[in-house]
Amino acid sequence: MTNSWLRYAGLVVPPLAWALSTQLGQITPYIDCRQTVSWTAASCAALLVASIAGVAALRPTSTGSVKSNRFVVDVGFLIALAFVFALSLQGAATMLLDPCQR
Amino acid sequence: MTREDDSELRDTALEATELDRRLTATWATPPGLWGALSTVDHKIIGRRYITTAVVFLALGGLLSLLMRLQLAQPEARFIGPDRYNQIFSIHGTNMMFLFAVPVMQAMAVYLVPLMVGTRSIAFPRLNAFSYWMYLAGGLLLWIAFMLDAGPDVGWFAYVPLSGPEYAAGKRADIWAQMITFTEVSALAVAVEIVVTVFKQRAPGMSLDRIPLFVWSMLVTSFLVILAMPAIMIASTALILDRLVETHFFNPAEGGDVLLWQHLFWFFGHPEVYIIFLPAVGMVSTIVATFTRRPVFGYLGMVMALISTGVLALGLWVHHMFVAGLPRLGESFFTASSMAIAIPAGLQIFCWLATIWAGRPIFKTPFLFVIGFMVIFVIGGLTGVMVASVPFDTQVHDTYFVVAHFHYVLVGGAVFPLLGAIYYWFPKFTGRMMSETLGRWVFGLIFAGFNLTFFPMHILGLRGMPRRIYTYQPEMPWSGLNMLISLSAIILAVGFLLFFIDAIRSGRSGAPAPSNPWGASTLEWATSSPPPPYNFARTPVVGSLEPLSDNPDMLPVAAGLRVDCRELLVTSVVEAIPEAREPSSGDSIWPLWAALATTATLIWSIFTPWAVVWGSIPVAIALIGWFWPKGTSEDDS
Repeated sequence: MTNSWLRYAGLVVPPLAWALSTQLGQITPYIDCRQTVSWTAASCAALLVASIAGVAALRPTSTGSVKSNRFVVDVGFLIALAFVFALSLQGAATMLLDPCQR
Repeated sequence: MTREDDSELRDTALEATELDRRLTATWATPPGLWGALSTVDHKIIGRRYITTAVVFLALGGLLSLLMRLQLAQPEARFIGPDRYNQIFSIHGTNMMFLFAVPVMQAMAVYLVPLMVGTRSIAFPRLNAFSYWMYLAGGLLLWIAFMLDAGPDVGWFAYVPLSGPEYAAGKRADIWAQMITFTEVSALAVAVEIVVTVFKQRAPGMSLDRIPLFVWSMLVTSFLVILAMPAIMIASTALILDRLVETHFFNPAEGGDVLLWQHLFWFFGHPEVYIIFLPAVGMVSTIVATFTRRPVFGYLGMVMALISTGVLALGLWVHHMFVAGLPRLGESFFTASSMAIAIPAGLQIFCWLATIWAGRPIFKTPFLFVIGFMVIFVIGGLTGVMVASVPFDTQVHDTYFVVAHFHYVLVGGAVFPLLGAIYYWFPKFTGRMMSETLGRWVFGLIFAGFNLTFFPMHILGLRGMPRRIYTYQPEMPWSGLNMLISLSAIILAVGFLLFFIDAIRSGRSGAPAPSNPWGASTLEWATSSPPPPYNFARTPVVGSLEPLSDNPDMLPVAAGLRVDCRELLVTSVVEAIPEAREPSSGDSIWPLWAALATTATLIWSIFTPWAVVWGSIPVAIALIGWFWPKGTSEDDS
């Protein structure tokens, strides 16, 4: 992946991971309720790790000489942090609630 | 001079007076009825949109007064249950679909091209079409109400209540088809705004120099494009269930009632942000102007706008906490609902920091911003409360929720909008609104709003359900309901005074200079009101606040043709000039296309064959619209 594409990673990867986690959160509780493995927690944790890795990879690219490119990277970085936080809250919920509870 | 002699005549070769004369001849709307019906001038269409939306606001407000009259006392018989159902349904539908979303987009239709320094909006004929569709949708709803055929299924039209089993007649169909009108209109404007912002910005206006109002409208437009198709699909499926007996929402035949709720709220929750985010842009603009400094934390504000926009698409299930979904799944939406408080809070702190570090001037637009902050913070706090599943389960469908969403929507959108109208009125009309009356308007609306809606929290906690047309005297609600109804009169007087001020100022207000507030964004670089061509020469932007850098001599780019409508296309990130592009001229075809579409859509409420036969006039109108006419404007 070149730097020019990488600078949009913060805008794309964590929001997509959060959207995927939100969708899986509507599907996997039905499966978790029938099994002992918590797919909801596992998927949420995997997406959280992927988002954090994306954020970590993004930060060093904010050093270019073109101001508007730096702006895109910095906005993406801050947005990524917001979605990492949202994913963390979703992950915390998987540790507190019974998947069978209605 | 003939057209051939004029070809390739550029603005570089002309003095200011001659340039103004020629550009006016090229861009001005012809006088008379035909000119009015065929104009594609974004400023004329924007003013029409705003005026129409404000008329719908007044009509919706009258309905709310009727409801308050009915609820002032227990067992009142002023309005019967059937009419009351129509009134609260149309109040909500009208305020959301005919006022709040269109008025925000209308402000963008007028202001975004001026703020990015271009001569017209992208796809100007689509813009004209969108207005006619919006007007037709509004008329459909209100004429149906006058004929006692107004929708009575709430602004959300939940199935099975709105399905063929429980909603006889055409009331639910009118609601569903009105959705199609307004959403087509909103989607058209959203596409125009996205293209205008991405490709028509003034040279030098790179992404980090875009005004915050323009950023807010860009994010809002993406939200419209992503969220509104869901409700159009849902309302079309509802009409199909009712007209040709499909079973999208009929569980007995394999359909799913909850599918409606998912589709509706996938649109319905982003709708709140479609209304709120433009208000964020308005507040940021007003705060910057009246504190005499740029908004603190521009980067954080842009981040907050984008992350709020994305998070808004993942909150819809928090409207369905009592629908019986797994608690774990619901908790994911609680998590996202809590997370959205981060960007929202960031915005509030950025504005507070700006005010703290600036030199605030407490003119009327700024007063409305202060009112917005107080009210929206209260609405945001109750929002965090109802984002919690246990609390929401307790107050679901009570007046607590009515209080919450009015604090969010009126506080978060109407207060900034009123401030924005006071702020941009000089640009719209060339006249100032009254500062004295403006302060009275603010005081009455702020006091009236809080006295009307704060007690509804308490009513909700005391168990008063929403959407009831009356209640028994034994219930502990009478005193508060009387207080609320009396307070609503104060609120109504405030709005009445606002309308009087706007009409009076539009006719005989003090003449406004080009930049009466000393603002720094590009719309104030042209006269008030702007000429038909917006800018004689395209401004060149060197910073986030172009007018603060060069208040008297803004650098400009030249080279556009003056004998035909032409504007500059620039690159997405850096706004580097890429091409000269013709802009469509006036045309009557958008009106014909809207009329043909209107006839087809209304007819299709009654028979599915309308889709077949109605497609013929629609096709003719579109062929006429796009038929090559041999001019660069038409071929563009």
